[in-house]
Amino acid sequence: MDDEETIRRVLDGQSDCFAILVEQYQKKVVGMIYQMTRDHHLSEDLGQDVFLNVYQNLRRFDPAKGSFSTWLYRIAQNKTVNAIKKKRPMFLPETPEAISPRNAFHAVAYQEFHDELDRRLDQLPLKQKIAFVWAEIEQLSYQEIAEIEGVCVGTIKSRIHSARQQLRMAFETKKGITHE
Amino acid sequence: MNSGDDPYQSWLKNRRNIEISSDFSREVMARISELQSRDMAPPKRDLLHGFLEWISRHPTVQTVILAVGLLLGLARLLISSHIVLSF
Repeated sequence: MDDEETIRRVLDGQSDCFAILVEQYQKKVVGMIYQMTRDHHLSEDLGQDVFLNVYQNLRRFDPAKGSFSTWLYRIAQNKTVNAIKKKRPMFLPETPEAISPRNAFHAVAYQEFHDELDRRLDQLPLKQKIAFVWAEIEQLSYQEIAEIEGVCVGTIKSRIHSARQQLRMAFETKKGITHE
Repeated sequence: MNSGDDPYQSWLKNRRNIEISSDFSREVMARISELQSRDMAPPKRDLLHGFLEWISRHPTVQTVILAVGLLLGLARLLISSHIVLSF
């Protein structure tokens, strides 16, 4: 059953079918919010709000204007940006995830490098950060990101290029560890 | 360099590796049920709304309806002018 058929069923009164959409897209939606906020609880709360908002506005979804996923991701992105603007600068990286390099020296060096990348990602201009998160972390295509943002693909490429350049500077800073 | 050795790739992998609570979709559906019980659920599409939505997505049908409307209007005009003339 494709998204449009699922939506039709929800609108025709089978609201349980909405769970199919939630399960299909929850990882990308919550994932994107988490990448932008680095707050696990907030990302799940906001993620729930996103799906609730989508449910309440499902009738307004127009397949002629684009796919359901694009519409959903745009709502998720708008909610996230609003939350960031409201609460900035409260978002700080959570405890770093465990990594398993070959030895303790590498563990420290990798962690420092990861922290540097996290820091640089958090410092990117919002639009660059959003484009980078969608493309590199959530692995959406440039075309999809352009549709979400309502801009042309070239603009997205340019934002991602700038973001990568900023992050590449982390390589320069921590060059030593990459050549161990 | 494989992704296991590349610190940038391992960073991306770490960033992608997030856990979502197993109750997430259940909680969303519970909140939806709560909304429904408060009668705030999206109204079911009624027949007229569904028809208008369908029409809005089909410009050819819009043109046909417009043309039929114009023809009927014209016919009515001709009939009434004929009646006036016959007097």
